[in-house]
Amino acid sequence: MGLPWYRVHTVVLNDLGRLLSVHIMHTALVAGWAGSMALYELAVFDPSDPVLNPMWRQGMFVIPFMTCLGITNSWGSWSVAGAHIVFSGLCFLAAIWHWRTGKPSLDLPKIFGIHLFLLGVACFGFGAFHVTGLYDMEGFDPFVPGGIASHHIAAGTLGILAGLFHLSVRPPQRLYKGLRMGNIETVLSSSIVAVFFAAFVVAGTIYAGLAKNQSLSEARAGSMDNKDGIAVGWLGHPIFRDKDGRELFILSVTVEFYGGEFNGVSYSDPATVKKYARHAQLGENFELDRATLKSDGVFRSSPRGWFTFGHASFALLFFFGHIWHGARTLFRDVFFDIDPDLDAQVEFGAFQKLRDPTTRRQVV
Amino acid sequence: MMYKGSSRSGPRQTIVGDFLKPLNSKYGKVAPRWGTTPLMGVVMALFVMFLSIILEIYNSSVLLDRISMN
Repeated sequence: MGLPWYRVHTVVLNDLGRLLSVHIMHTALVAGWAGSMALYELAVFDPSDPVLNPMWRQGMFVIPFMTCLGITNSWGSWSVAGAHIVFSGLCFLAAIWHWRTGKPSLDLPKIFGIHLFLLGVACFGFGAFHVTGLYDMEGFDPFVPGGIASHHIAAGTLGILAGLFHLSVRPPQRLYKGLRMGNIETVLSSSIVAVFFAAFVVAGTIYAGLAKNQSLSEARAGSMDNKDGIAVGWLGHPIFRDKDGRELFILSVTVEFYGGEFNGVSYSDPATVKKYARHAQLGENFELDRATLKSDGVFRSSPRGWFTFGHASFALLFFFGHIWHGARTLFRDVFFDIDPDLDAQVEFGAFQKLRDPTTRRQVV
Repeated sequence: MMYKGSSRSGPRQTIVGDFLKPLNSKYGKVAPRWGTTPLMGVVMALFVMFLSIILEIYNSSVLLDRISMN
């Protein structure tokens, strides 16, 4: 009698070599996605008109992140994509190497200390390199409050000091037992906390548009060229005035264009005025080429909308996952007694007399 | 599981393994009773205060002369 399908992954739980192997394999998939996505976007990206046809209108997703980190030309992008794919391949091989069985016991508090120290060094280094301009990047001014470089320098310093502390001081016995520090599932449970916390924060800030000074025009459409066409000309700013020259939309209002292709042109008939008023609400007025991509006028959700929805959903799932694995960790003795003959266990419990371990049910 | 070239006397020994062995030799070692838990509590409280301060600076709920949020 094999395991039911929803428990098959438990085979790696008491086998740390295989547990490590599956995590490395996951990393290989993540890096492989990043490299493949970058390759695809580079293949379809049109950099010829950054003003009227920027990357965000073409539905690019990872290229903006690469640009933010200092990749400004295509050679940089191709090498980043290639590096991720090579790394993914190496992780794949490492995962296969680690797929060996054994029952070592791991000193988890020591591992935590080592990892925290190394992460502190890497975090500090990232901040420092962006101050000194190793990646030749503007926008990383260390004296900007809440800035990226300054944060990483501060957090990295904290990580190094805390890592050294945890390497020199063993955990208290009360905390070791209370948090089950000898059981790897406690690591899983607390890691899930970090993930869902980050997901909630990031979903909220992207929703509110606070992250990286995003403007509301990014909230429009995904591959926006597919919706309303490739912008080929700017019509100009519409200025709405009433007949006394006041810029308020009351009764009789005219629209006059300032700058762009309609510069100086004005309309006073209500239908035209309202049309340009409506267009002005959505953003700047553009002359649009609808033929090239056969743009269909269908509103597509923006990258920002998908980001918020996806991250909020995953954050909720990961919160449940934390409760699940935390409960499994803390009540392992109860879970541990579940055997394949599940129905009898669930209905009548692990002990035949409630809370009396001497009456433990014997497996037939 | 039998590894290549093993006798039954325990896990396989390698040069890298011998270098790394001290790092994985203290499994289960703890400090007695509550140890440094009170210190941890103080550090956590300070960290919460730190995060609240930087959040409220960034949110302009705390205004400082030398820092402007434009």
